[in-house]
Amino acid sequence: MPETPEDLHEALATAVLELDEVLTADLCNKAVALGYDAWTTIEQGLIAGMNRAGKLFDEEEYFVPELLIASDAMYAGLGILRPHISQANTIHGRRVVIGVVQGDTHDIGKNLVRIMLEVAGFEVFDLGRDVPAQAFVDRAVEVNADVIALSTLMTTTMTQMSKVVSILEEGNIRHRFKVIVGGAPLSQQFSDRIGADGYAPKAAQAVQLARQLTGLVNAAA
Amino acid sequence: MAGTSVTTDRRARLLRALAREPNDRPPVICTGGSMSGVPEEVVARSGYSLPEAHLDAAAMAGLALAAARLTGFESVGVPLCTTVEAEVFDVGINLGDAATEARIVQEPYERSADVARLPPGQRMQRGRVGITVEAVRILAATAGDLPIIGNLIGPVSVAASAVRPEAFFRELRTRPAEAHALIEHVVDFEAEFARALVAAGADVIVIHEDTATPALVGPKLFEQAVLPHLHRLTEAIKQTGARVLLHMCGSIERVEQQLDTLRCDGFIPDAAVSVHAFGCSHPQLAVVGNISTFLLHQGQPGQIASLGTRLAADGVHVVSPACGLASATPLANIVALTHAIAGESVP
Repeated sequence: MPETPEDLHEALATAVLELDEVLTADLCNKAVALGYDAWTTIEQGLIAGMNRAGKLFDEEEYFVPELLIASDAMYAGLGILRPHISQANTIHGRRVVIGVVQGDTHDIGKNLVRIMLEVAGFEVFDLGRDVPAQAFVDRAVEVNADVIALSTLMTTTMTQMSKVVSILEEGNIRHRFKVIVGGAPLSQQFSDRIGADGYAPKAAQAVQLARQLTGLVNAAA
Repeated sequence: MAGTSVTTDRRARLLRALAREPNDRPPVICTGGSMSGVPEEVVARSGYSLPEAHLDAAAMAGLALAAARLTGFESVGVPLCTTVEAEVFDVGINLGDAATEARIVQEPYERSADVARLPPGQRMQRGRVGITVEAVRILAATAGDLPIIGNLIGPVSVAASAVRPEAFFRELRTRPAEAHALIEHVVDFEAEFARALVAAGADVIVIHEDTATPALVGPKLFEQAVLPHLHRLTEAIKQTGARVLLHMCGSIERVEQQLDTLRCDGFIPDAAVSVHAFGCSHPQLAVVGNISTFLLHQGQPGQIASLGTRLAADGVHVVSPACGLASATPLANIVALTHAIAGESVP
């Protein structure tokens, strides 16, 4: 077992990366027992591990099953550490409304992006799947979202995405939201064509895109 | 188009193309299933309606045939959706309408082991299996020289809709024996379904492995968990004498060589795949494709016609959309494609 908080964080990150939910939970319990700061443990351990898994996913070393199992480990650890978070954290408060567009119920990709956005500190409003275009807009207005994130796996439903952009334009509220799109059949050209603010081919890149578009990092970084 | 000479018989032309035999020109087809050629405009002019045609054999066959007549596609295919097999495994379906495709709304199981094991014959009695087989039988009597295509959703994708997909893809790693047992069970049913489709008159069976793709599960898991089952299913279909095609969405780069081990006659790649390169590395497979369905929907007829002509020049054996057609796809765009391939001017 690791001897210092740093060792423990590293072991925890590795446990998440290596998809070991049992070890992740053990290490989180140990951090609590030793009185280590819960927030730092989440950040340096669980989230660091999930980010490493996300990186392997982007590099096509990990695929959907691996990323899902890594997130199970991360959430198991979060469940243990959350009650022990002491001070208010430096959450940036950016909000994302996310969902799979109408006509499509493939939601694995959307769920992966949601996980990675949560890991990056976004407050995520998940509308689920088969979501009508108007519902994205209504919810984004209601929660004063910064970003509307649209997902689809199917070529048949890609056009639902331009419908969301049109509704925003018709309501003269296009400027209030950044619209990002993702999904297997999409491309940057498609995003440009429908007037979205950005496209990301992979989950971690979607997070980077959301961070750029909401001013958390500068676009050139 | 109708004629009696060998060259203009559309079934013979497709079968020659799939055998990679010399042809006067590539046929231009739309398979059905996940590549259903019935956008709104076609449905509106067909005299049939959706979702009703999903539920009635005569209407399903009638709409498929009307679609071929209206579009110029040189095949008829059923079913006109991707949900027939899922429904047989208790999945909740919304049959949609002409504007929105039939789709899965509720996956019933959390674990592979929870799915009841029914004999294939019993599953054949469920949902719209009988309607689909009957539609093929009607087409066999009504479609003349148009080749008939029966469509199956790939067994791993079906398993990943009976069990909630995220749970299922976890199980492929964490409880592989249970996940594999479910896929085996799906293959048993689908082999039976395919035999019934062929007995009813299907010339070609297309397997659409639309969810469990290499891009999603990765090359290693694809080799361990998807390929062996596809192998068994294609083997079973080949024994009926029908031709077998496989479609998978997304990149196939890292599994390309593995595809050669399947007993398929042809492959329908994603629009992003170079058909020329694919054809060169898989000389034993007919290359079917791969018109971007985004272009078909949003492009101009002229662009679509030239893409079709270019694909034909690049050596595709059969011209076809690469994936599912958006329901708002203009009929004029489809007609531009089919006429460009058939060498006719658009009226």
